[in-house]
Amino acid sequence: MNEAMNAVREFVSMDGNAIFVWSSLGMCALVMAAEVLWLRARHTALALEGHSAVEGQT
Amino acid sequence: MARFNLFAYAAPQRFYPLAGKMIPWFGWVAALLLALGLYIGFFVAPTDLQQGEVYRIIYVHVPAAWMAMFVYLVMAGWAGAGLVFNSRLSSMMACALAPTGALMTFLSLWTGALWGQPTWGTWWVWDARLTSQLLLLFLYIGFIALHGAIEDSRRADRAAGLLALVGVINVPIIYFSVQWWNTLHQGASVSLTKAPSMATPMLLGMLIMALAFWAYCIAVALMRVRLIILSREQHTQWAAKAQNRAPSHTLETV
Repeated sequence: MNEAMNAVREFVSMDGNAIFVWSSLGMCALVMAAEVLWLRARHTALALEGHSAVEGQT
Repeated sequence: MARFNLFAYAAPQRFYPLAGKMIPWFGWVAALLLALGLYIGFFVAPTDLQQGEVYRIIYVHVPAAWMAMFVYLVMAGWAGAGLVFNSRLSSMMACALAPTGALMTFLSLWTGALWGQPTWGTWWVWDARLTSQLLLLFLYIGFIALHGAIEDSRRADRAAGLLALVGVINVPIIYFSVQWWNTLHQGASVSLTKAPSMATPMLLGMLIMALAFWAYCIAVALMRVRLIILSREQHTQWAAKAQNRAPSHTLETV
């Protein structure tokens, strides 16, 4: 159990460069996820605009 | 037999549903390749002899930097096609690619800074590679800003398209900067003419990550082009149908 924990700790520490490696990966994940979510939200908003326009018409 | 006519899809109306069908494919390919590339890069590839573990930033830095340049070339290509053929969809594609290209450029600079600090001892230097890459970011932002500043979308397409074409000169400057000038940035790790200077799993992981970023850029650009098509074609019957509403010109008369 301890060995497994140590292996995980060693992996995360990245030779003492954890801050550099994980900040790089984290920013990539953040930017990519944000771009996709923003585009999906925009698409939903456009569709909703359409629905409210239809409701306004009736 | 009916012939498949690719140019039929140059009409935004026809391209809109096609793009919608392609997005999940490219999205899943991107997700699977990202998982595979990260697995190889972080669990299979060995530790670098000189740099230790910090070299693993390469798995996001190089794909982002490649895509930053490649997306610009494709964007300029579409912008050029829009100028020459006066086709609306081409210019819409250029607009859809610009923000993604800008984000890729930002990611390459961000990850580069985080790699530079532990290996060079500095976040940033004004050397040829870094400076020309920063210029690329400004070109993307300039394209987006210029397009946004002109109200008439067709005129905006032409002006921004011209800027995109002029800016193409910067791409070979970025690529060859490490050969033309003395830079702190290392030379190319992968070249078509020379054997790679890195271990096979490292190279494999990097190439898979590059393919993943490529698929991601396509998926996201297609998502954005659909938004652009919808917002520009709002007055038409088909866009109204796609949006599940009556066209705006009918609404005005109600």
